Amino acid sequence: MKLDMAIEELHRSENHLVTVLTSMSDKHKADHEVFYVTRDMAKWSREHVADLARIGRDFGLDLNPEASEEPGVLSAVKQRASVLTGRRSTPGLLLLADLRHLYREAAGTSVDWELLAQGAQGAKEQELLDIAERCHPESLRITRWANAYLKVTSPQVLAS
Amino acid sequence: MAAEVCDVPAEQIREAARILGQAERLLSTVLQGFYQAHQASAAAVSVNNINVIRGMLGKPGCGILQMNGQPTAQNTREAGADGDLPAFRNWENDEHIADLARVWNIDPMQIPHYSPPTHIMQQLRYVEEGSIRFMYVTATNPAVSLPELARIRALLAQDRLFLVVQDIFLTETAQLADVVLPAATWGEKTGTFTNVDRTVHLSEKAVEPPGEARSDLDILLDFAHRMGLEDKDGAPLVKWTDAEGAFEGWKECSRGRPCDYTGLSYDKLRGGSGIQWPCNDEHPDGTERIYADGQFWAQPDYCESYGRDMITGAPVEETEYKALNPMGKAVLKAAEYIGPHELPSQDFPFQLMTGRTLYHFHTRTKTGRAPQLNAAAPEVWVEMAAGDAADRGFVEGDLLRITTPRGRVEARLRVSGIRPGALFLPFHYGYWDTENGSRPKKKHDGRAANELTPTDWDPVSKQPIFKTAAAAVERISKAKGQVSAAPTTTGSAPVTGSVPPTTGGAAALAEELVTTGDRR
Repeated sequence: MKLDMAIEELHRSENHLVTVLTSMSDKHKADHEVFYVTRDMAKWSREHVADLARIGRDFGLDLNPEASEEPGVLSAVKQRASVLTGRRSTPGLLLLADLRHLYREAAGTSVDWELLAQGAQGAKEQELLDIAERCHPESLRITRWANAYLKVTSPQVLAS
Repeated sequence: MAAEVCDVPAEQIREAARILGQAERLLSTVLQGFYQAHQASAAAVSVNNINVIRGMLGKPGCGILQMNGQPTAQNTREAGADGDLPAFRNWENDEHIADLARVWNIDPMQIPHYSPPTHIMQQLRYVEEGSIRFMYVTATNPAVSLPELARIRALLAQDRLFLVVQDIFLTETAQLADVVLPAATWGEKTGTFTNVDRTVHLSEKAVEPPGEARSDLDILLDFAHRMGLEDKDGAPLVKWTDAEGAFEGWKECSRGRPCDYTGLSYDKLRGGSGIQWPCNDEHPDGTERIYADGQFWAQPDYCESYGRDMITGAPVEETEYKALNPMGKAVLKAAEYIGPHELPSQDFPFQLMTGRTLYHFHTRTKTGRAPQLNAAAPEVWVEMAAGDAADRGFVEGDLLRITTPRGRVEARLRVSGIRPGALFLPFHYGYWDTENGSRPKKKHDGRAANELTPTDWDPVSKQPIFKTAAAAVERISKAKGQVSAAPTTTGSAPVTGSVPPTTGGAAALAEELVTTGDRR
């Protein structure tokens, strides 16, 4: 059985997604909807990290239930930089790049959940399947948001 | 969870659920308390869910009135004046766009439908970063009504922004404008109003507008002609020249859509007391009830929207919606609770809500000029619960300073029946009737509640959030016998001290003689 490897990999990628989301939030503080929605979605990934750490114990893993976060100072610096450049249009291009990055990371994570759910069914691991069924839709929603927001933002950024 | 968040005992929530669950007739109505709260759309949709599940639609005594804040705001929704496409057309539906292009005789490419409409808060963000350089405001006052006013004023006052404001008074926003276009008010122009229950009324011009003021329609028609706006055959894009002609144009635009006006006319609307849409060949006298027998307008090729994710606000894609709801049934949506974005803390221990009083409308530009209404609520106040006031030794009439990370407001205290831990400020009061006109005298001591509110909006509806901000209070000076100017009626009724009651006075008394019959 290689389910432990799948859990460990997903724990790593959900952890990374927390960092991607919060860092993106800080960098775009002047774009209020991005700032708040990415923070709200980061809560999902934090819960996923905790869920994976809990179920990981059943598979002999010792994973940290707390997502690794950026130091508060770095976060504050990024937020301040966003506010200071808020009157310029260049952050728009940066936002498109960050949305593209988030889309790819979230899509990767969502595929990992698909793998885990399939593995759990093969191995008849009901509890693991329950977690996958609960978490997978949320990582898909992050992907959809990144795609949708890219769609909303790109005409103004590219055509202005 | 709900009991804790709402500070309502669980037993009372169960009792309320029993009423909703057992009612034989259920009429639900909500307003800004829902729309401007945290997770607003999810909450408003829950009201719809309950009525749908209980089958309380399209029957006598049942229904949902999700009210609008402004007269005829229903028609601004229908006609596309909120930024949506006219007659509930769906921006994601190419056939709807093709149909609208046919009605207007333009190329579909001329209708922006590559993404959802850009809402005002996002437009202002584009003004902030400089990709919007021209803004035209009609009949609203964002320099008082939107959150974080210091930011709004700074954006609107930028040299690189050309701001046009069309209004009936020189509002705070108009004072920041490069060009002001004086407009006529109701009674000085002809047009129709539509209520939230779909009733269309004709309102005819009674008097001439004063001075250089013209009706909004005349100003916009003049603008369209001077801009040389044309359809795809080189004819003028806007083909009508008066209100009745515009109404005929709108009828054609609404044909076959839920808000079908094709059976209405100015003549038909004269005399009676209004007609409810849809009004067409099939329903020549209008339609009293819609959604009867569980029939909705949710078919994929007909619906006005495929909906959005209730947490992220991401629009649902066409293929997804078609798979989810091929038969056009009602869609029940729900969202889990997520905490507010700004919670009370040690430095900002109160939860600040802004809102309305009965006596004023919007930013007081009209009601502040109506002597009796103004006398009932002449000046801003702040409400606090009796226990919170007692803990701090505050009494009715004390002058307080309310602070958030965005700004400061000074207001006299009304000890009211508000929830402990919460503060309430009415949002109506701006600066047009103060010395400085468009802004507070001192940079940080204003009287507009929106000096304090955060720039944050519901990602689904895009409406700003006005019910969750963290604030601090301190006393600037003691009341010394003065009381706050809050009305003693409604939610601002005092719970301590003796405050002279709010009354209409002699000027409010009216006598009417009814000449038919013998009753007087």
